[in-house]
Amino acid sequence: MNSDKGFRAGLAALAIVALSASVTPARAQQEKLDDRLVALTYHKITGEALDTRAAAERTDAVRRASGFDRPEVLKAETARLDAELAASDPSHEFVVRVGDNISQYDHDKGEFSIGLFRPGFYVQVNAFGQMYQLVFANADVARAIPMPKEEARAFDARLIANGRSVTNEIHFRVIGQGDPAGAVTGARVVRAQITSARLLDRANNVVYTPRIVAGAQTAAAANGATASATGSGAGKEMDFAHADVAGFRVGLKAKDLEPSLARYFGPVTRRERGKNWYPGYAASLVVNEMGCYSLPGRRPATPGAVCVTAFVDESDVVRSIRIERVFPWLDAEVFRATMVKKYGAVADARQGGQYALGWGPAVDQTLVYDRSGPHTAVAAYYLADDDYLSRSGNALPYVRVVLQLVDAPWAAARAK
Amino acid sequence: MNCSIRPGLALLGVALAATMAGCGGQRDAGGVAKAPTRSGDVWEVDHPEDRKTAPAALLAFVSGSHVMVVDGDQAYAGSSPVVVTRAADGKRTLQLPDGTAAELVPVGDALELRFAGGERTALRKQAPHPEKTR
Repeated sequence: MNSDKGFRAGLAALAIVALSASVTPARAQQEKLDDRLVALTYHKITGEALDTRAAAERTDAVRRASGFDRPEVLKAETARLDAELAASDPSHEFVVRVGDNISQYDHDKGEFSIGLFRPGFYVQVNAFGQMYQLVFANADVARAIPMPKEEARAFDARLIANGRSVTNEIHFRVIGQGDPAGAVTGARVVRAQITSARLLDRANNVVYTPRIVAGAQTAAAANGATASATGSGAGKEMDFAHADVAGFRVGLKAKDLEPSLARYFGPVTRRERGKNWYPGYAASLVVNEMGCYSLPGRRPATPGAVCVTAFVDESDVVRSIRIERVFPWLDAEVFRATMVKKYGAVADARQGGQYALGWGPAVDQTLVYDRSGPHTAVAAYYLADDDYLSRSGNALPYVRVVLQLVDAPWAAARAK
Repeated sequence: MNCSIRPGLALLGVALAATMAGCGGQRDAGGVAKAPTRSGDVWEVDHPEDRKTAPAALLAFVSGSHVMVVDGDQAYAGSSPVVVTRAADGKRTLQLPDGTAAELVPVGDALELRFAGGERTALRKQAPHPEKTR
């Protein structure tokens, strides 16, 4: 039997953590979720490999086996796990009960918020000796408790009597990988869809039942808002063949882009392909090269600086654009929310030295300017400028936001 | 010269393209437009160092409106045209290339860009860049 513990016992009430460039998302106290089955379902649905032999080594049966019997027991346990993985049902509905809390009433929006359903929060799942982060793709739909003020006053009094704490009973299905909000990053982010939920007080009375609209992943979609033609703010699929970054699209001739770049940003330099260059591109148009970086000994980049690099192919057609701008300090959550509003559900999110989000189809990484980042048609980066030599030690760093677009249909055709 | 295109005149594509070129902007069937090289004014986010308006400046950047050419009732952001509707009070409603809605409101000699979500940022006329390239 699996000897892994489901969660750390004794976790206190849900910690509220504001999203920042080095965020530590909050973990929720949970009861009786079958962590092992969640993990198996995740691996089944995503196809992400599970090292069943390594997992088998951690089982009680293998640990208790004698040296003589161990190889056979290990083989049997590995086979058992393989069979469990193969037999796991992708449509299985799970239930988890999580300690949660309700925010103060937002008088401007006329609503309360449910803590767990805010960006950056997840349920920790431990199985097979590794951690999984369970996020809810349609948390936005369930997050708000809208209420007129007078009704909210009585509701708030009831919450205060319970210390604002509730139990969040969530029914969900595992649907894939990654946090569509781009807030929870790292390995093994389990994407789940809430099918129903209810908030309970200490006496197990229902405090509130969020309205979950089947298939809606955002509050806007649940309310039937219309999406823009190319945007996906209401959950509509983005058309990446016509996407833009800061208003710039790909697919036009370099001679048509260059005058616009010059008019907006200043002199444009054309560079022809050099040694060890990006293999898919023949030339680039560059504006304000290095003008967005703060380098030691150089005048630092200041807010408002804009730098552009557009890559063109052998036919002089623009196939990739990277545009960046320097801002004064800006919270990473503002960046995340703005980007998700424009491009929709995040396909890839990374957080290390920088915070990076990606959307759209994967592209050949040799075509991407920042090869460390998401290798997707659209990518956005949030980088804090840590050049402490160029500014006072107490000042907040500037932030550089970089947007990158690669012509995905062209890249795909090129790959064939 | 009338720079507007009326629906149904697509068969006159060549003549219309020539007309549009004479107006300073050019459009193609993909919705991509070259910003005029001379006509109109370039407007950019004012006070870029202001932290209070940084969220609005970010939204302007992402939507392409952080630097725009405004030429009467035509506007260009990035490589795309902006749909402009002018109201009687002088305010212009913009539909930016990615569908973001905003208003361009005169404030003295300057403009203010106001987004539907409440974000606002002042715009200033940009000083001309040197025209030489390469």
